[in-house]
Amino acid sequence: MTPPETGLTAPLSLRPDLDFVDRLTALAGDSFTRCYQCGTCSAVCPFAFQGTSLPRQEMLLAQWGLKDELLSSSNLWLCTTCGNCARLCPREVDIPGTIRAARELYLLDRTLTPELATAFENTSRHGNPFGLSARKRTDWTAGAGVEVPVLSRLGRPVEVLLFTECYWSYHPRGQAAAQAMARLLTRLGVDWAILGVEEQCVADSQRLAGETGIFEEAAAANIAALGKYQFDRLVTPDPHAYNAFRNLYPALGGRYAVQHYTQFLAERLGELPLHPAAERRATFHDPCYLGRHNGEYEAPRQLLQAIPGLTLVEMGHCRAEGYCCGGGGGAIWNSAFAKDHVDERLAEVRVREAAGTGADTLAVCCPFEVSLFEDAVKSTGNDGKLAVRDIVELLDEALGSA
Amino acid sequence: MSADRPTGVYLCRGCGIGECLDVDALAAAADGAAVTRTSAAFCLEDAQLITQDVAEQGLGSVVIAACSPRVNRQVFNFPPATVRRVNWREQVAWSHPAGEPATEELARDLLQMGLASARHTKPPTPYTPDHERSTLVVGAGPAGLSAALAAAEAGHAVTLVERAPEAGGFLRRIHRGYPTRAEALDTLVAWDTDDLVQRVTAHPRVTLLTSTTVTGISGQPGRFRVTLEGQASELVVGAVVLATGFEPVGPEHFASYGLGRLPDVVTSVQMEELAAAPEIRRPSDGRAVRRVVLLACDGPADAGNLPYGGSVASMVALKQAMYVRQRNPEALVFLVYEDMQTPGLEELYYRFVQQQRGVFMVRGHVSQVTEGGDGALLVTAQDSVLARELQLEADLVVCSVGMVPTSAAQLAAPASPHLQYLQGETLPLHRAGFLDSNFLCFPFETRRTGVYAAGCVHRAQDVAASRRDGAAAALKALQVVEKASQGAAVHPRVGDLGLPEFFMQKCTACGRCTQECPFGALDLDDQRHPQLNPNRCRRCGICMGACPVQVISFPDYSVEMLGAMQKAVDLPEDDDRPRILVLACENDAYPALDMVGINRRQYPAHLRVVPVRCLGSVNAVVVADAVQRGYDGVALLGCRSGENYQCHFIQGSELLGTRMSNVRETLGRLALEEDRVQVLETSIADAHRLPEVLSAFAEGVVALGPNPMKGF
Repeated sequence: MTPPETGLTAPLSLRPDLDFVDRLTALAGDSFTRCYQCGTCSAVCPFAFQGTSLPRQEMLLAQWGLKDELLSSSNLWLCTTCGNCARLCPREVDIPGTIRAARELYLLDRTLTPELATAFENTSRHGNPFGLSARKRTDWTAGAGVEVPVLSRLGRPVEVLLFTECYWSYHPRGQAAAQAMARLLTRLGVDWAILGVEEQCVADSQRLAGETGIFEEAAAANIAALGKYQFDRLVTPDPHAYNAFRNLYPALGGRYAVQHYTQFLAERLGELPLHPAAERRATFHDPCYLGRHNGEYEAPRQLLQAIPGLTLVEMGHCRAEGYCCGGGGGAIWNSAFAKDHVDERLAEVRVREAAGTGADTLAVCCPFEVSLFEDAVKSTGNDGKLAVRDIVELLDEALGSA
Repeated sequence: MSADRPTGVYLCRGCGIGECLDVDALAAAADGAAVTRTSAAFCLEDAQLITQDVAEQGLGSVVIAACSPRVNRQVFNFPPATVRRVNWREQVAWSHPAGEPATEELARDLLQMGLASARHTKPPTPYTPDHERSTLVVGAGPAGLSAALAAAEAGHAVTLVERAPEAGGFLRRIHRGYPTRAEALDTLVAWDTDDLVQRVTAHPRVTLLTSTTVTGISGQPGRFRVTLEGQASELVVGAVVLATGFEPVGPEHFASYGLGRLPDVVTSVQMEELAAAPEIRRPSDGRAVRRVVLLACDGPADAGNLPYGGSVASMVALKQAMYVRQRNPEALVFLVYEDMQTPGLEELYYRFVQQQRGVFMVRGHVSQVTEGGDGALLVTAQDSVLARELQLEADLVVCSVGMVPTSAAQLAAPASPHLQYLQGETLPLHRAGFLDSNFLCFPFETRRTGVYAAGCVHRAQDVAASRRDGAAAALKALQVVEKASQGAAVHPRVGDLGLPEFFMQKCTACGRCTQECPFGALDLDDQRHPQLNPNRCRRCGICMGACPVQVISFPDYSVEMLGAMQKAVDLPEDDDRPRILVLACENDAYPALDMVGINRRQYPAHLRVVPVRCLGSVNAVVVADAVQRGYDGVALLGCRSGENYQCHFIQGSELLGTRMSNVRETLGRLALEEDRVQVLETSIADAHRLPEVLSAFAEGVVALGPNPMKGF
């Protein structure tokens, strides 16, 4: 996967592979054939200042049917499918969808980076990208301090099914957030439960990285498991899972009333007895798959603004113009590759922007972001100056139950 | 003069004038008037009073101090009296502080200037001999056919002359047209050439002369004498539409692309011929083409390349891509372009073709076309998106050849109307070879009144646009014939009946007026004196500005009149009341000044504005007299000159620039600073800047101190 350097290289022979164009069109639609190379996408791409020509180069190579050029482009794997390009494309090209389709064709006969290959294999074998045992999916419940009901043991319908997804289930920082959520739900008196060990990775990011097969298998398993129980609504902390439940599962037979946890809690805001906790000056990072891809900008802000003592300051890149954390589209499992191809990780750029607002807290509501941003806080020298907190943790703190 | 022609003076208080000025006090200054009246609004029922006075008191001249002369022209029209307007509204009440002595002085001076100009205004004597109303259309392509049909349907006789044995022009060389309707983008248009030709030739008012050329045109609008070679030898027509079309750029410009050397490199015109066959076959071996490279709107980056581009080349290349695709859906077409120009709804066609399977858009510049292996051609291009060199294999390479107007001097035999004019037999050209005109304001004009350009000799355009162009030019031809029959000018001084008069006893036969007239209106008689062709004249007054002995004048516009107007201004000798004369072109500068007032912005009250027909009509003597008399400064406010000129008479502002050397000479002789006289170019779009520009000029003049000539 060496990048085609721009500048003086061997002449590029333009021999279009029409069959490749057809296959790409079958997967992504033909919107990429409309690209007229205005370059708007590349100007607003989070990698714009990193010397890449992502994604306009990829759209051109796709149009021309230059399979080898496109599939050997490092840009193909840098893209996080954050969608800022598609938001502004005057030709309404589905750029993330085209990148995703190209990745799918890549996977047919090419070698992945070891870390991405491992994440895929783990998801396939263990139902989570970490490769941890499926039985450990509920380990986090032990430290919650409240009882965490599991559907299979309850034996009755519940109001809310909390679909925790992998990061809240397995990652230590995610587990802390899951525990805070459990306390909040209990305090609100919500009739809730989790799916427990029957839950599998939704694998939407694996899908965006080209692994449609894993996504479809996981979806079949999740739909089967969910089909056994009755619940009024499905709440998930993961915007990627939210995206899949909302936009892809219905076509696969899984129709649920799905909410991101911030949406669910924002509805119950009046019932939360929030107390003044620490004085905080917080800025909020919009997750691409909650905001830009699914249009929810208000719920997280309503929650933050309801916390006594917390002042919300916005970054320049916010709401629809939010800047990617660098974890989407499978990029979270490809960080070594990214490091080889760009000077600065996106999370670092974002943390600098957050620190620049004068905030002491970077509030997030996507499980990928906590670990990415905490690493970036350290590497940018902001350790001790900027705390990364999931909104649910801040709410938990204001409830005094932490 | 005022004794023969009693003058009525009408001072209006409306639109804020009454609040700004003491109109009754100013009325007292209008001495010598047969009638003086004031009104709250002369544009309403009080206009009747003026009509009445003209009839009952036999007024020959009416001076109205009210709104700008640019408005209410129909209201303030009192034949047979001549009318002079004093701009008290836009240029006094709306642009200067009320009740101030300086504002009052300005209003008084403007009134005196109006009275002075009235004294130098005579009623015009229109030129109205017999007139011919028919139109000659040269060239029977899409523009010419359409012009002929439009003029004929409007009731005018038309002679349509075509050099070729058959009408149709370039239409006959184009296989299909690109779609013109958004709902049928996949349908290429079959031309109705024969039908169009049939409709034109069948029209009772059209005479088509094929295999005929124009060998000479003399005379003027309403009476052009045309000599021909072919089916007729002589004609008299009222107006001429030139629709002689274009020629494709010669193949020699594409030598580095192999054109002329490699048989499978063809021009876009040859491609039309290839596309007429059931299958597109390459010229070298007759094999059906599978890979075609279209070089759209491209050419080697050398001096021979055309300095202009347009949407036609882009649309033709897109269409030719469809020629290939429609015959062979498996064929690959590469469209290499530097600029894809598909404005407006043409964008839809670009999008349609771009999305065709097997059509590939390549933005870049071709460096060479060589022979590749296996009889194929190898096109090397520098892709401007990837910044990489690209190689494309092709069976056929099509070079988009640009359109050169048949008027262009670089052609071996440029089309010429063979005008029997003193200034030459061809029409003046703009850069790039198209017929020169003020493209912004008078798009169909040429620089010969009564001769209009249509189609690709006018500008590079497609068939549909050429047809529209032809119809539009025909209407201009009808208009000039109509105006000529009344003895009236065409735009911009539409309807002006006055003509230049020459005081021949003083003429030195220098011929400068005949050379400087932008419209070639003047010939020379046997004594080498100017001889006017009245209907060619546009009344710009550039001849009057040119004449070194000031023998040229109009009934209502003359060097004497401008002199009298500047002399009507009181020049106080105290230091804090400087006086600056502003000679403002009536086409853009004067309306721009009005706009300043309309927007209620202010400028210095010591400016005295005299409208002129064109800066080119300003004789150097007028400026020299003003500085000699004691004006502290003179500003010449007019249109932009140079390559992108906006002068409504093409060359006026430029000519003034050269005359300024005379003025500088006068300044030097009087030991006055050169900066006292400046040309300030402006346009209507610059109106918002004018107060600053004028203030800066006034401040500069004040800084120089009072003109020491004052009071001498």
